[in-house]
Amino acid sequence: MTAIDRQMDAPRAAPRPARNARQRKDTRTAFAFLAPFLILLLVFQYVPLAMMAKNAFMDYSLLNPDAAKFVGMLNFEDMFYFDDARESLAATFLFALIVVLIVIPLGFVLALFLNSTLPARALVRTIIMLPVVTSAVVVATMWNFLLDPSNGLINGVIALFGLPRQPFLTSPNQALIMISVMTAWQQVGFATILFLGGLQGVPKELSEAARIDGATRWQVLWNITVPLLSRTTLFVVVIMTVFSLQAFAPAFLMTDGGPNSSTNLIVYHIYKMAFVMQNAGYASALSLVLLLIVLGISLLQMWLLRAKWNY
Amino acid sequence: MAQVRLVDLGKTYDGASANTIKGLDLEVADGEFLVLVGPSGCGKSTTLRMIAGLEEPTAGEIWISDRRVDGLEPRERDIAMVFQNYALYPHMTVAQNMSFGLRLAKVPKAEIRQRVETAAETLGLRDYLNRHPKALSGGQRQRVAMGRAIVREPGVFLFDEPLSNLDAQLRGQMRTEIRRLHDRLSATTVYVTHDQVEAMTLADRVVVLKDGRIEQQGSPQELYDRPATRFVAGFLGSPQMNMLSGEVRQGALDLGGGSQLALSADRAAPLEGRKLDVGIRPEAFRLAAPEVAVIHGRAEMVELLGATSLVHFVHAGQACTALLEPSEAPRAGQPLHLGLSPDRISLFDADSGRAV
Repeated sequence: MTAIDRQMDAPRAAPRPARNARQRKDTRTAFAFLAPFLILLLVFQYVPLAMMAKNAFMDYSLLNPDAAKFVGMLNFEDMFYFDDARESLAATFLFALIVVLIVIPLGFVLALFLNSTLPARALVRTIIMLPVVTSAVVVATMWNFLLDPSNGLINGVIALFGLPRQPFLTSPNQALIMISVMTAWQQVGFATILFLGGLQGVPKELSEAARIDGATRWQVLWNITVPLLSRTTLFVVVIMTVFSLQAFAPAFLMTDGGPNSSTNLIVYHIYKMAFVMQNAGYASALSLVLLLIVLGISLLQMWLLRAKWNY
Repeated sequence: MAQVRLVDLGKTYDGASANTIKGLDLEVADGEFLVLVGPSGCGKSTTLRMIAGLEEPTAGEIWISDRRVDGLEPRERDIAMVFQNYALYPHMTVAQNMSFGLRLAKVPKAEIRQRVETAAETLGLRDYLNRHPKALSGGQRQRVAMGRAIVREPGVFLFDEPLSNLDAQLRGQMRTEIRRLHDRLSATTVYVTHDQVEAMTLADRVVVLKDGRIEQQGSPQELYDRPATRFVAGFLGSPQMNMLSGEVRQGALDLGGGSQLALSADRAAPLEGRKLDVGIRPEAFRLAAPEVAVIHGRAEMVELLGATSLVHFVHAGQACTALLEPSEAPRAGQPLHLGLSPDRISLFDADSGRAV
């Protein structure tokens, strides 16, 4: 603000200085640039979100929307009364846990490899990024073939070693693990890229200083690199958790939520409730709960990521 | 304590056409403060990093005391290093930063605490032991980096331009602290800098590097008074040494512009007729009466520095500087008559740049 502006504003009581003509023009320009995105966001995200929140308190069917009637908290009470929501959420959290437990260490090790000067880095980078950019439908279909109990490639390999063939997706004990492994396989490249970005942000001098301080390469990794990547790790954990909580394709394309509801992931369950069981009100309530869970995880992440130190 | 010996050390980077370091031979005595100085790209940091074990030489040997260390990991070399950007561990407190090496070495806890506290006392860091580096000023961070080196009580201290990230005032202060610390610990030290003032003030011995070779080594005063090459002459000293073209004719040094300086017969005789570069320190000039003065000119600009005055003038097309007493310095535009003693000039061969 110039001295003249200050003089002009001085007599006024308002603590916020009035915008001058140029600032107003800048604001208009900014809105003009943001408008297309904001309008789309509003129409396709926030309006449906509000409608969903409303429907969560209604007895509502897609076949006859006009017959919707307000039922208060009944949909939420049903979640406690019946087992389906609890079982589905339990399966979903287990799914997310297995995905994270595979993706984090594997992504970290692959990122260390890509950050090194070892040969074949470009090839490995392409190989691990390929599943990430491949459609979930393609991946699910491919793994369906791989995991086929009678003709699948994986059972073929197991049979070569003289071991018994595995049921995989048709076993209540194995199906969830298998779709978790598949999802982890697909997502590990993304985690690797995030870890690689984190690794490249760690100044080289820190590991050099540690080596001079007497650290072996393992001790540098454990005492310097891993702690300095804690923020990246937390970020990857949250991204992978949120992604896994919203997974749909594996349950829809590979298992139909079975066998015995063992892979009945929450989003697939919501889909079935809304479009198969024609209970859109209950599905909306489940969606709202899922939204709150994801929101809670994101807030927790932001709280944990408060900067305590930086470099 | 320890000595460092570099034998025919060489370093070539892949893809680089020329060697970065070429056949470097250097010995650092036990307890000596050696400063490697040179312009950027002269190989001084690379040399230091090879001593540290952060880079491997492509030729030659590195000895610390009576052990050959090239090929060994940094941790096996009994060295500590202070980095230009401090390289403090951001997730550790000052105390944790300083004790990291000792903890790795499984030193007993009581001893770690005692050593860290002693070092913190020495460096004035007592009140900051529980802070993270983020909450420290540049000078404090620099002290922590030095503390981290001290507590390990290594045989050799390595400094890689430790003061270049500090502002001028702090730099001067830390310079004296580093020297005082060295006098107290008398640890063998190799110190890399591009700042000739640091080199002059800190060193027992200065090694001037240029293009990966040793240009000259000796005590700071030796290098200042008797530079072996035109490069060393120009590199050390601020303001820079004046460089004039000259030629010895009939026993006198012709400095161009009608200026003649009488040389002793035994100095002049072998140089008769050779093209020379004549190096004159700014403080070697003194005001003289016009009839005995060697150089006659006009003061173009005068910079008052308080204790001294810098008088800028042009002689035979060459910009020159004279350092004079403020009380006797002429004002800009006034005529300038300067005298010069023949034993205060340095003569270099105009082609090779070597002292003659």
